[in-house]
Amino acid sequence: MKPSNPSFRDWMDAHVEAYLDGDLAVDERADFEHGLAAGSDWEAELFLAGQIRDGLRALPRPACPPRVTEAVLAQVRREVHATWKDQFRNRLQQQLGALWQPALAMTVLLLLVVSAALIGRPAQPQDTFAEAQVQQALVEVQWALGYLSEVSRETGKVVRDEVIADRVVSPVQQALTARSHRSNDMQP
Amino acid sequence: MWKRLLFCGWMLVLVAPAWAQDAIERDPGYVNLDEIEGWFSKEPKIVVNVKGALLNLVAEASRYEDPELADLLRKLKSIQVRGFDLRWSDFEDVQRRATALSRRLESRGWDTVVRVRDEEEYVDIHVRVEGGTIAGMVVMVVSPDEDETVFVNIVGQIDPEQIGRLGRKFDIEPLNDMTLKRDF
Repeated sequence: MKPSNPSFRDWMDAHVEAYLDGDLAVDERADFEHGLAAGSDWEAELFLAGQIRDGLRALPRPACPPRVTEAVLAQVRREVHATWKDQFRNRLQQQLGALWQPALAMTVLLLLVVSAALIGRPAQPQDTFAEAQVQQALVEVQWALGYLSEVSRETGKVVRDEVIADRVVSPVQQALTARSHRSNDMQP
Repeated sequence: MWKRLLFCGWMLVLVAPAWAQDAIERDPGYVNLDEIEGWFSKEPKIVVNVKGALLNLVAEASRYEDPELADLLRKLKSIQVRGFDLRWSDFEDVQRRATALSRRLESRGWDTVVRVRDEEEYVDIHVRVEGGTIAGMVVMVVSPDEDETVFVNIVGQIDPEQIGRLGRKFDIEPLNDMTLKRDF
């Protein structure tokens, strides 16, 4: 690009501050210095820009009022917190988005099972009974318990008479008697 | 996925009524005595089915006169009795069926505590033990000689000693002459 080109002037204008601050790349710096050498008015522009920069830097730096600092920090904290909340909310929405269909299906199934269990339940026996029914049931219960007791007694007798007496006591008695006879026979 | 879920749902709907049956029928100490009625050509002479709310009412009704009986009944869930007339000609058949039922109970975890076999009498007493306590008892007495063929099933926390002691107080003769057929 030639220094006489109008777009080169715009480029030089845009890069004056960067040149002063030493922020230009090596080839850009070379181009800029080539432009400076091509026209004397760029030296004046560069001088003026340098003065403005130095003047601004020389201005006193006002301290930020504490309430402004606090307000800014509070705002930053809110934004950071909001970001976490947003992230959590987004993650939750993603998870729920994947789960809501199975969850809905399971809920429907559960409702079906409960409904079927209630509908299919056989008719429950009456929960209220007349006094006579209760008395009759009491007689029946007493009879059942009496019967069980009698069966137990009878089977106990059978065990005693036919098992213990016949198969344990009698053989033992016979053995003792035989032994007693033998002892008597052996005595002189 | 929806089709599979729908299929599972319908299967559950079909199965659910079975779950909804009375809890007593799912109790490990329960034995359905209704099936025994099919062994005999005649209807049972004695049918006792006392369970649930009625059993609780009976317990409370007896509390004033016999608190020990009330406490015993409070621990029970159901009492079933079936009594039949048995002819000598049917004795062998019923004995064979009762033996098969005993074996089935034993295979399901019931213990046989009494077994008496002679020419005129067949007695089996089974108990179902759950967690160290007796949760069910089945008594089968088959005896044609005295027209005394009786099946009893008691469900609940059973203390045989207490039943024996309490039962001695009750006279069973009057019921022998009664024809009971009750199902609450």
